[in-house]
Amino acid sequence: MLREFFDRLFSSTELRSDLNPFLSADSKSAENTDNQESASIVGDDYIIKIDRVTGDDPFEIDETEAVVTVDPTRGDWRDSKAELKEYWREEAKRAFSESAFELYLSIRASKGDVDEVLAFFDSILSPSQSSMLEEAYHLSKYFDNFNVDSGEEYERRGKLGDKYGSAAQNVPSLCSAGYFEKHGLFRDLYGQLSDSSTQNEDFQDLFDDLVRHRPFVIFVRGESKLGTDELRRRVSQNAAHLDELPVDIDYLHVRGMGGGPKEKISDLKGRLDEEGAKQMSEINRKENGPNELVLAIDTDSLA
Amino acid sequence: MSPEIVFGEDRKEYLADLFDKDITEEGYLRDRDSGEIVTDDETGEQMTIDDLGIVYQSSEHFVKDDVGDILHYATEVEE
Repeated sequence: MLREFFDRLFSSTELRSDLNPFLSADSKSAENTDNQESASIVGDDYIIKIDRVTGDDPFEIDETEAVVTVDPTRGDWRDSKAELKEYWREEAKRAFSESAFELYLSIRASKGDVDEVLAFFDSILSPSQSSMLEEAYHLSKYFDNFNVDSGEEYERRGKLGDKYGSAAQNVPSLCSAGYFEKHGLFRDLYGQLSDSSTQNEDFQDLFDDLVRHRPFVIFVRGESKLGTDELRRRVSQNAAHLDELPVDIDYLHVRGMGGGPKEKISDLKGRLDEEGAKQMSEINRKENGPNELVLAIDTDSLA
Repeated sequence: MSPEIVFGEDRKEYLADLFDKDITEEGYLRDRDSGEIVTDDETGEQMTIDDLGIVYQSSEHFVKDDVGDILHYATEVEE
């Protein structure tokens, strides 16, 4: 089918053999047209990418990524709109922008994991909270697994905030840290409310509060200018908030990835050691991307 | 399954042109025949060239490059 796409862009008589991406070097020299299909170096599992091409040819083949990049604005391909649209209408039936395609692939790949989380939360959260959690969870999987640049991540978090309120921007980080998964904090908290006759409503109120203020965790970002004094002050602030909750959260987490944040967390740990606070640090190993340092502070032991 | 078609950032305007859409001064996609601004298939929100995520048929349907809209496409439209 990929061949048909190129055939539509070029009739075979127009396509110089040395430009034909379906012929391996051997078959080109043999000039054996009967073997063209079997000698193809690109297959139907390839992606056709319409983009700028800088080389001499109006297409590029990336065998590692299985992508044929075509620039239909170049050379003989300039008048190829009708052919490309015909291929879209008859064969592909859809076309993606590049960032939408990667997010689409991520959503397809993560659907089972996200559905497992939503199977627990969907019936106990409000419809809006549940939709927000589902979208945030998919974004967290996309950010964790697709090497998304910080500009795109910022923009997508912003859109989530526009739709569900600014606090939603932080929910992908909570998802990525595992707080909604089996044995995670939020499921434990729902269990703690089991004696309440208004368990779901109480949990929805708690969910809003915890998502907005995140008293149980402090994320130290790479660009953060937080010093040890400010971090220590936030630990006290968060611990005070935890004391006011109708549920028990015994530990406050301070989390960070990369050299700078890890150093700040180590400095904080030193300060808390001097104060005699009980704490424990561990490395959260991520499948993709850098490992995360997690400091768990026993808030009852804080001075 | 035919190979997927993916448009790079530098060729999004070509994609709009392919489907007979102009781009207004504010960046919205406008149908050349009807003069109407293109809307997202699920939410009905007007769409800019930057928003453009997926074009699918039958006739032409447009999906915003947004997690909620793509999630709806992947779970409700495609399946």
